[in-house]
Amino acid sequence: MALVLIADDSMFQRFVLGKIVSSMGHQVLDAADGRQLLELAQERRPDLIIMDINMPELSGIQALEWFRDQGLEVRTVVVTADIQHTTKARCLELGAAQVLNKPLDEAVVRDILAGLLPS
Amino acid sequence: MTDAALLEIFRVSTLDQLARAEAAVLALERASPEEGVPAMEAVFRCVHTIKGDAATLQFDGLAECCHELETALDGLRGMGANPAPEVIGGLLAAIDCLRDGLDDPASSFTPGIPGALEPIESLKALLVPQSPTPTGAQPPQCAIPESAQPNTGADAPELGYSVRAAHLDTLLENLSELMTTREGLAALARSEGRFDYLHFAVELERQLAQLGQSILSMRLLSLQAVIPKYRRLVRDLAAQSGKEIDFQVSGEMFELDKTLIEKLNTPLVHLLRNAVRHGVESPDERLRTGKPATGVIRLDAWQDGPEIVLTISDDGAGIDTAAVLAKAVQTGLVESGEKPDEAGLLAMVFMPGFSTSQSVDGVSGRGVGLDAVKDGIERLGGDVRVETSPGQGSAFMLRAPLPLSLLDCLRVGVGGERYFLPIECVEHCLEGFPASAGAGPVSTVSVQGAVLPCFLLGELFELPAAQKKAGHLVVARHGGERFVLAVDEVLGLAQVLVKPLEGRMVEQECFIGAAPDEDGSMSLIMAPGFFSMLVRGGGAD
Repeated sequence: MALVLIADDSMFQRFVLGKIVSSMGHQVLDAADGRQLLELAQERRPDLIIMDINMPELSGIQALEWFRDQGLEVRTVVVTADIQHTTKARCLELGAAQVLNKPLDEAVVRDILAGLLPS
Repeated sequence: MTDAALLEIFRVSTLDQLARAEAAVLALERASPEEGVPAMEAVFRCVHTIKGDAATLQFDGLAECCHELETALDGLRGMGANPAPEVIGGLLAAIDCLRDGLDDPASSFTPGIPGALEPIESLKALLVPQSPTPTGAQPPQCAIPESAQPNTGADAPELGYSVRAAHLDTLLENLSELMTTREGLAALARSEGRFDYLHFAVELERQLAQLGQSILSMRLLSLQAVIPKYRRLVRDLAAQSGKEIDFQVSGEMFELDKTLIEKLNTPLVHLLRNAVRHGVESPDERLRTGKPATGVIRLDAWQDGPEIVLTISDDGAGIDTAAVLAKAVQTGLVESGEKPDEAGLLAMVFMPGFSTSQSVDGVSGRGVGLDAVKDGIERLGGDVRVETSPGQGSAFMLRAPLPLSLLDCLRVGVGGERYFLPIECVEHCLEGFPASAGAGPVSTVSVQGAVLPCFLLGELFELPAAQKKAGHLVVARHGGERFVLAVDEVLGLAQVLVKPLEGRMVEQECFIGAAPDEDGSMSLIMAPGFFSMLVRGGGAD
């Protein structure tokens, strides 16, 4: 069982993603903003972080930069409604394993989680 | 997981985002240039989040609406702080429009429904034509603020677990029993001289107090959570009555029991309405009397010992005491020719049906209101007072006891009974009862050169066989008054969990609640305010 941190300011998105992750037998952690994301990432060392870009306190991009600057090795999947090419390229450049577009397709999420996490 | 349940989560989550957006819009109205950008980004982010969530559930109409709103908001970016009032009004109306449609998100936002999306359309009309002014415009491609400054204030409190109040009450009951057991253990250890056991009992007391604080804090809600609602109320009422009002708040970080915040709502709404409608004058009127056109309404909250104090004040015309007197004579409350003092006159504004207002309108002033305020606050065991100064404004002060709190108390014995006195009001204790003191429940004693009013509690409470033992004096201070309580003996200190008294008892003025003593029996906690009120009210000058 892996530990998955879900960071999104929408309670609804956290719920929907959390349901998928826990149905695959993994444990879920929630962060409602960028600051909680950094704190939980550091304290709990999750196996995977699924994160939004547009969050209060700190954006997803800022969080990715912080992980890089701190040398914190975390696997991240970015989920965003921002379809700009430059944004996606920046996330991948900062080490994100995947960038997914909202609205999410559950089957796609399951496939990616299965690929990134030990079952 | 049914669709209905998922829909409900979407609704709650979206309402939360809309509340954040509303708070940010209201902050935007008052923002300095450097606060304006984060507030604007917060509004944008909330709309964007709702758009994403709506798309997930295929509420395409709602997602499209949010998209349109984002486009409109884009026109606002880079315009700096303080958008025009009609823009703020338009934003609030658009937020209301989204909120109203949430009961049926699948069909509320279909284009074609006449009038439904009008607020968003008119907001766009307001914003889009006047968009990019090149000077000082921001780089357009990125919505994310460059600095990693923590954003203080604009965001509403995070969502938490919802716990039924009844479960917390049960936890507190259990805690209360634990504290009683501990008191018994400590008493036994003390009487048998088992100081090793006593050490554990003292440690337990500290740990139980921490546990109690944790449980109590679960019931707490920062006042900040409800302030946007009041800000909106004042704003809308001011717009309705053509007044310009700056609403200032202090003490909003103060945390209060959630049920108390809910119960304070009605009195607060009445008083804020009253301040907008009858307190602050119209801009013309204000300019005529040499005041700035914009009036100020303040809401200040602070804690005074075991009480919460809230004042709602305005810098308006003040209460016309002559009109109050005329009305009082007219309604037969005062004989004509009689001249009550100002305090007496002002107390009359809280009488049912009493209003000096000339006009009745949709905002306030139907002769109901202030009596409802008084009634509401008295039900909580508190009181309301008003002070006014002609031409300078009025201040209403609400006081209510803080329910269910841990209180450090002095335990005293009087006539075979035990009572608690909040330690906060106690200055010091003296041994021996001076022979110079007069007889009767209220007299005076000389303490370190000062002559202070002295209450002989045994007689005041009419306890049987108040054995004239009165061996100790407790010197206390509350509400600016110093006084002395004569008791049989001072038993020690205790931290107690206050249980409010049920209903509106006669004794309520005199006691703020009850708490279990070390043998498990309940003892009353004296209200220091009762004694300071007696001192103020005369009879012990």
